[in-house]
Amino acid sequence: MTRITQVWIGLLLLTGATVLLAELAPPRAVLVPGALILAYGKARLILGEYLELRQAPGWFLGARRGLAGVMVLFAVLALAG
Amino acid sequence: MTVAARPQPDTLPGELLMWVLILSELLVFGAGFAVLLGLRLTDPPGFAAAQVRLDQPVAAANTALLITSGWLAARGLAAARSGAAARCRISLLAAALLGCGFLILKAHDYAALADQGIGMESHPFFTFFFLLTGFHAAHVAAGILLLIGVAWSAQPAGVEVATAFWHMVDLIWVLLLPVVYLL
Repeated sequence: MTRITQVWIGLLLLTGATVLLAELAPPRAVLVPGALILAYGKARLILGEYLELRQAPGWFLGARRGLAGVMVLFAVLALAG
Repeated sequence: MTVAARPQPDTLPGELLMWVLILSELLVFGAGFAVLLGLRLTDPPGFAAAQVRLDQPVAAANTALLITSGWLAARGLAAARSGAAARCRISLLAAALLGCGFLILKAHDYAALADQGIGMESHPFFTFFFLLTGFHAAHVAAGILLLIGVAWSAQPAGVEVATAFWHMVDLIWVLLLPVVYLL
C-alpha cells in the first residue's frame, strides 16, 4: 500500500471518529477539544503528506505550531460561551 | 582554507506563490471562523438552535468525498511525475468528479435549508454559514476547473499547482467542519 493511500485511510478514520464523537454528543468540554484535535490531525496529514510539507521540516514545524495555536484560540472561544 | 558547509535552509515544496495563496486563504477563512465563534458568545442558545438545523450527515459525506478526491489528486500527481499521463488524467478527472459530487450535496444542503425558510438573514449564524461554505464552494468549483485544465497536458508542474490548490480546499473544509457544524 502506498503512503498516499495510507494517508487517505488515516483521514477517513479521523473523519469517522469525528462523526462518532458528534453522534455520542458528549458534554461541550469534551466535544470541543475532541473535534478540534481530530481536525488538527486531519490538517496535519494534508499539510505534511498531500502538500508535501514534510519535505521541509522547518516549515512543517512552523505550520504545525501555527495550526495548534489557531486550534487553541478556537477552543477558548468555543468554550467561553 | 575551506569554507564549512552550511546546512541548507528548508525549501518549500512546489511553487512559492501557491504557498502564499494557501496561507492567505487560511488566514481569511481562519478569521471568519474566529469571528463566528466570537459572535457565538453573544447568543449561545440562539447559535446552538441554528446549528442543529444543519444536516450533519451530509457534511460528513461531503468530507469523505473531498478526502477521497484529495487522494485521487495525489495519485494523479504521482502518476504525472512518473510519466504515466493516462493514469494521471483518469485520477484527476475522477477527483474533479467527486468535487462535482461535493457541490451537488452542498446545493442539496442549501435547498433543504431554503425549504425550511432559512436564509442568510435568518440568524447571524446562517449569515456566516452561507458566507463561509459558499466561499468554500466557490473554491471547490475553481479547483474542479483547474484539475480538468491540467489533466489534458498531464505535465508535472501544472498538475503540482492544481493539486496543491485542491489540497488547500480540502484543508479548509476539515477546519470548517468542526467550527461550523459541531462546536
